[in-house]
Amino acid sequence: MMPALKVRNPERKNVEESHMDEIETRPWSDLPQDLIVSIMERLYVADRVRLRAVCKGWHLQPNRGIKAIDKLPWTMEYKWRNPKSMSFWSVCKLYEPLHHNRRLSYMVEKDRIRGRKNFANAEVRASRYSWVLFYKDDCWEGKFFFFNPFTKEVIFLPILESPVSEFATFSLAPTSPDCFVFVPYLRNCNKISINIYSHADKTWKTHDLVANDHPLGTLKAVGYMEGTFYCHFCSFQLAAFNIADQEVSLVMTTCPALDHLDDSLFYYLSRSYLLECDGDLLLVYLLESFLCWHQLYVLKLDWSRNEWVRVSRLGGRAMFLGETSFCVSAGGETEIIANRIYYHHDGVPEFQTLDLCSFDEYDSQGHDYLTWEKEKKGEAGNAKIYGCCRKSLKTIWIQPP
Amino acid sequence: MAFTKKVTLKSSDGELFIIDRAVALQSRTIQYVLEDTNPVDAIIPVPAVDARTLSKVLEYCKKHLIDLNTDFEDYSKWDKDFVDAEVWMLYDLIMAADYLHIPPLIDLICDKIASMFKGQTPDKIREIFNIDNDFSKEEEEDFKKKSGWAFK
Repeated sequence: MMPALKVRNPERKNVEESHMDEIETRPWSDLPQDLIVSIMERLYVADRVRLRAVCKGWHLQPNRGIKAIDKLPWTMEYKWRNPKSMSFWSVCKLYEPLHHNRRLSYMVEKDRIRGRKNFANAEVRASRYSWVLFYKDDCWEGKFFFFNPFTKEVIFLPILESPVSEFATFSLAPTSPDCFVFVPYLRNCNKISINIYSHADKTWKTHDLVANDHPLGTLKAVGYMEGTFYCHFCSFQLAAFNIADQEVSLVMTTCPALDHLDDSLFYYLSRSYLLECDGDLLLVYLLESFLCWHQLYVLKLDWSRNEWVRVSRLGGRAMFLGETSFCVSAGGETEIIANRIYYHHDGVPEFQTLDLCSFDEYDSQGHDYLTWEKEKKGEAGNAKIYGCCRKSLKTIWIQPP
Repeated sequence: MAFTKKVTLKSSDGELFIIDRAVALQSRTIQYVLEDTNPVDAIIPVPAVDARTLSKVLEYCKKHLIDLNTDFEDYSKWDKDFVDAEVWMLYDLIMAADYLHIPPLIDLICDKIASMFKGQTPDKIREIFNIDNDFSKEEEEDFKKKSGWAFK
């Protein structure tokens, strides 16, 4: 290949030559928005926040649809000061997962004097899009509020006159008028009341559902997927509330994979999580046993047969379970933690890692369940992207903005 | 051959660059011009890019054409050195790459600029890129109040 031939234009002015010696400045603040977006897409949340504070030209609206680089959830540690207790401070801290050997923590607030009195004793119900839905039972009045630790915004919802709501979730960020909050309450073994809060109307509405054929059993988990809220009962009935139709429906599902288990396990010893991932509705059962190991079932709903089928592989996805739960789709950053389940719950102050890759191994030995153990220290170091948390504080998973 | 194998580009300051057609085709903007008009021996004006920047952009296009077979490591080192430039040059390059529509070059410079932003405070970024702070005191305090966690 021939090198390019450069032809100097004889008319070129000398003024431009002399210009080169000066300190050159460029109008960086006027950089086209699509270029700023491409740059931001390469940065983590904290860097993005700082970049937006450089100049007005770079102060893009957060909802401009900049793709998130942080696919993995962060963790949030918090404790709100209870005015009656002896602890003198409120604290809220965010932790990034480990990126290239750097795991940063950010103090959102630490207040020794005032604290957040109105947050005291609030319990986490759900988290999506960097917002956390809290519930507080105040003198028989249910108070729900949203808190966003990344922006410190707080949104209180009108009081819901209903008994204690153990389960609740929501559809979209509460800054969106299309946000709905879903609070089911089991009245008796045959009747459930579904409380729906519409952020546009600023009101609660209640829809009742009666199960005529079979008792519903305990409410085990709630979830949201593509415009519909779901409630899973231990009878394996699935109640669905479609936002567009504003209608409740009930379907009986089956789960042959769990048929062999003792019913009491479901009542007393299991936790379950309803999650959405890549268009699949997933149900995870974690059975705690008195032995030193636990049993874990990851089930996927086969909509054509209303049957929960066991998933043997996460297909590169990663799961985060706890008071708030997420499933992260495969690819990119998630590779280092692919096929693992991170588990965190009250009283279990460590993140535990499950590796579904070994499923086939167990299966070939004739086991029809997956056993797991806490990952050994030092082993699989690349999966240790979340550190331990402090026992004195609550820890939840949270999606960065 | 039916096509001319050389293409002449004219920078904003009037300098002419005679280059291989294949090199020029890496720019989608020029590709459209060539497809539309197929100018034989004609000069294609590039009014948004000066000679200094254009020669640097063409250097990139040539390297990436010739070295298609070189292994990844060689390639990334060359790219790294290529964007190891003054900030004003990065600005000129990204604007030129955007105008000429050369996606891999845009990506390369975006990577570089993003790496310069990592872990920096807004003050430091303004200093490096010579940007005036056009926020009011109240607006700045508002950022700190809302997202103070990111500034500590």
